[in-house]
Amino acid sequence: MAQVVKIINVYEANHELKQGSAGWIKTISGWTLVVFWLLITWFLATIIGDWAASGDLEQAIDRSWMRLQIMLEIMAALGSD
Amino acid sequence: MGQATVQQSELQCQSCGGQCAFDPAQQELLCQSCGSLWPLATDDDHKAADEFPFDPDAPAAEPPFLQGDQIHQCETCGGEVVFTGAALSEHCPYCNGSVVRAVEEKAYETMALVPFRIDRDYAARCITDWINRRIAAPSDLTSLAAEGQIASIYAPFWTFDSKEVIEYWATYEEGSGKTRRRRRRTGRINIDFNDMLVPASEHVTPLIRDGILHDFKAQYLRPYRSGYLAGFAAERHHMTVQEGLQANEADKDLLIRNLIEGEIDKPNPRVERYRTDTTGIHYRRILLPVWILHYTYRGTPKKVVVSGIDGRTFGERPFSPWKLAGCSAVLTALTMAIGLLWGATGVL
Repeated sequence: MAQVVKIINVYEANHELKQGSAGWIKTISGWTLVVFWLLITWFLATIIGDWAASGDLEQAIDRSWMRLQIMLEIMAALGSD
Repeated sequence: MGQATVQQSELQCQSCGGQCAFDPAQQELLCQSCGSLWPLATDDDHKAADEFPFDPDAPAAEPPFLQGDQIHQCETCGGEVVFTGAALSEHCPYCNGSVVRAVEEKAYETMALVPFRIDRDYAARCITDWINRRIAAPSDLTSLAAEGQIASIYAPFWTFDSKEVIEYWATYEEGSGKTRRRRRRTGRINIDFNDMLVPASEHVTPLIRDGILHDFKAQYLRPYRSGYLAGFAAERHHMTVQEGLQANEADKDLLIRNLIEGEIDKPNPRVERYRTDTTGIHYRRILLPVWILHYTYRGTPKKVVVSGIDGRTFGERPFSPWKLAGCSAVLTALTMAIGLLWGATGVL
């Protein structure tokens, strides 16, 4: 739930705090934990989904690991934009 | 307050001798007895926006002095306020604690102020609107806030101008995957800070400033006169210019680092260090108008602050654990559904 509080605080800061001000910068920073939580949830779900479809847990973990690496690359590219 | 004792004659109606209060809607003094309006504007009002130079290497002597004000001190937060005219209250505008008469301490001259432009009713509507827009707020928040106390105060602020020539040393990321490397970069940028608002009171946090004072305009400033304070509380200036500059150092450092990162414009920049040459410091000691709602949620005091200039609102709010749990469940379920489908389809 702390991650949801952070998401709401960031949403409200983006709409209400002066953009570029010190308070705004402080409030919107610290997204790492929110992204980490969402990535872990998504990663575990892809393993379960793949395992359910293929029936091979080891292969499902390998493929999900590769998906995670691709996702991280996409996010790094989006972040650099 | 100000350069002299509050001049009672200025606050008395010239028609009936009744007490006047500043009327935000008319921007004039309004007699509470006969309803007469008395103008406060003068030909020299434009001078209120004048700024004063400051040389940190040779700071001008600026002794604080007794101004003959009746000071009230909060027994809870220690805040010192001056009530002018009919504004006398038993409660501190900052924390709603009890106030008692106190011995006046020396203070610095206030140079200008922005008079209240919105009244209590409008501020109350802004607060209600703001509370109604909160996501995952407790259902009883609106009714609890309606029982709260709304106070008005002229809060002390600085405006600072400065020119910064900054030399920086930073690193940024280049490449991806196994070719990812950190590169070094040095550079120089010039930054002009103009009318940077800095709270001159520990009771006004930078977050309050950044939440409600978006549109400070120097042309709103008026010369410091007791007539503008009539009916409102005010806090006096107790900080030297040097102390004001020091109070802003952490925020200024954050802004400079953010501007350097924007200048680098590369992935994952990190400012190792920077050196700045500051010149052209100019300042003003001013008062800005704020409405503050004090309310208590489950024993915790909270406040919502409204800009007395344009009604912009920001504040502290509680969360409903049940609504947060619901939001968390929806977000988690959505993320899991995407992950399950993604995995089941076998797409890399």
